[in-house]
Amino acid sequence: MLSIRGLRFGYSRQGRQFDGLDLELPRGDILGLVGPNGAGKTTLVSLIGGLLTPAAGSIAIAGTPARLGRRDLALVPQEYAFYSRLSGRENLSYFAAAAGFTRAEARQRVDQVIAESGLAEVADKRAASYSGGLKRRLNFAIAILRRPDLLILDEPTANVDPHSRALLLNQLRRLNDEGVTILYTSHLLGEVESFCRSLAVMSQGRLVWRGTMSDLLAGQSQRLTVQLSGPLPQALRDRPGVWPEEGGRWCLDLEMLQQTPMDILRELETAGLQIQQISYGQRRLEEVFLALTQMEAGL
Amino acid sequence: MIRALWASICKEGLLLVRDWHALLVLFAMPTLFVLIMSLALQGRFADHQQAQLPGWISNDSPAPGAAALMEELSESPALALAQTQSTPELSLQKRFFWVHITEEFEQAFNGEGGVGVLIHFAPELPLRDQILVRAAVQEAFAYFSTTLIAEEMGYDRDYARTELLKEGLISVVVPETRQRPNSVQQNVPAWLIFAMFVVAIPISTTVIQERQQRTMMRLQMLGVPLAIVHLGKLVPYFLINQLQLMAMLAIGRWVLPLLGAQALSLDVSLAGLAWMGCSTSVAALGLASLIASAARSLEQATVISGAMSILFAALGGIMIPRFVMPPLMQDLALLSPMAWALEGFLTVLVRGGGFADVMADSAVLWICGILAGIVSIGISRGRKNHE
Repeated sequence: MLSIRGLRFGYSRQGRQFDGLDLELPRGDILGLVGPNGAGKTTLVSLIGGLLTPAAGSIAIAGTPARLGRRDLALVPQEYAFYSRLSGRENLSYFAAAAGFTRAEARQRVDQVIAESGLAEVADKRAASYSGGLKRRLNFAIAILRRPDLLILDEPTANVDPHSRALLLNQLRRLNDEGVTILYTSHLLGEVESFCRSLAVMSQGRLVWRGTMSDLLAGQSQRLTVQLSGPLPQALRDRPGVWPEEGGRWCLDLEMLQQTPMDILRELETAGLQIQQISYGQRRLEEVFLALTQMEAGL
Repeated sequence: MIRALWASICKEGLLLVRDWHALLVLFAMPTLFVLIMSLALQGRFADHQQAQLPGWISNDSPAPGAAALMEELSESPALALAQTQSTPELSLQKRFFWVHITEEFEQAFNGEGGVGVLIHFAPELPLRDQILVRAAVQEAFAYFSTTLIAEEMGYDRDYARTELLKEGLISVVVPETRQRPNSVQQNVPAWLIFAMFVVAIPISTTVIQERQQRTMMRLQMLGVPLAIVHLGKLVPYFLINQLQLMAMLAIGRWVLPLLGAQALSLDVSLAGLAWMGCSTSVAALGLASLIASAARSLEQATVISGAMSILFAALGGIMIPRFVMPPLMQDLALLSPMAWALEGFLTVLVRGGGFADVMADSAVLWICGILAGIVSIGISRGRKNHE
């Protein structure tokens, strides 16, 4: 659906640039695009939307070059990109008219989107009076007026209450079921982990990871996290692959220690320690993300 | 595109109607300025050929000549004199000079020393008015003195005026094209022009808000050309400018007379007025677009557009009429588009000019508006890949 090849783009003032960025997004996928502030996510989104012009390389959507005004592409910006002195319905009607709907089409589509976005009760109130969640819903509703094939969302759930977040994510899943491809940028890694099928991690204008969520996490070693009744024996503490975590817990990397969980538990029992809490599994996405981006930044 | 343009115009109109701050700035502020300034400056703009300077007169001399001089002074068209017996208090609020014919008048008149007439001025009276009073007193004395000579020669007072003083030899001609406005004729168009240029504040702030909130981006992504977006914004403000024109003219014509000011005569070229309204609006909208594209933040836009309006008004003869400025400042005033706009309006309202008479002034305004618009498009395009 989206194919980016050898993308180059530079800011003369900041000196930041994409230097040969490649990214493929298959039709029907939900790609989470994550990266620290300044990684270049919003710039990439603007380039895909045709708002910026690349210095070199190509961006193709459904096989044709990215440009402004495509009917098959919609962007939900992180800002509330509507008029707060207009009501939700007036905003939707205006953007529908701007998008080229006839009066009758616009009326029908606006009613439909209002219902789908859960805005029916507030549709005729001024947007300035909306809560953060309702504003996010309106921001999203405007973007899907044209039923795009590729939907790009830039931090769509920032400052949103859980109810609105759930409603928005359900709506996105429904759209994805209908065949809409989604590119989702967010700082909320837990949300990306639970919602997206694949992931792209950006750092300093470079793509440092691209693959499915399970690929990323499968590549990480297993680990054991324990909370003990007393201090961890010095001999174990000094070994590589052991580090303290918040709340007095200890994390033990089984691959680095070259031990099985049972070996570790036996060793702790021998040291006279009782295990108060234990968890076993992979590193969380947030930890992997931090490791990837810090490695890229040379921290 | 027509539907998108119409929707943009309706949207902008709705936003404006719901923004009472902007409405206050665009309509209430100029209305108050017109009312206050027209009423406050009535005296300052009065035609000095008809206005009389109020003062006191007293005569301490028993000589018949002193009484004759007093009579001449009381007939002076430039002075409005009230008699006093004691030393009067002089102030600009009441009577600001005192012509005192002294006891020594006859002695001084006969060249035997002393001062015959003393003129006392209120200290704050401008030098120009002091010179005017002195000239009026000297003129009265010349009439008095010449009449005496004529009578000694056996002629009458009329002979003194026509044959000796050659009254009528000097005549003052003010060309119609250089006629000065009265207070209402000056202040109504002046503050109307100021208000028309103040649209730069709401235009630039809404454009920057749209840029920052990315509604502009959203419209671009929907395929709406930037030209349509901007046109949709400028058309409602052009109409607002024309509403301002009608409102201010109506205030000058019907409201100001109720408050004691002269009525603004609208028995002038309405086509000329309408054309000047359009031309001023083009210049104002061009400058507003330039500020909107050059400013990077709301604060910048507000400060620049506010400061620009005030500076152009101060320089362009809105706050202080150009004709009272020194020659250098009168030339510098032409740097302000408001000066050209005011000149055009005064040509129609004061000098009876029509559509053809304001072509030069309006051409400058159109050029100013179009140039500013072109520069703003250049800035907007240049900004695209640098933000």
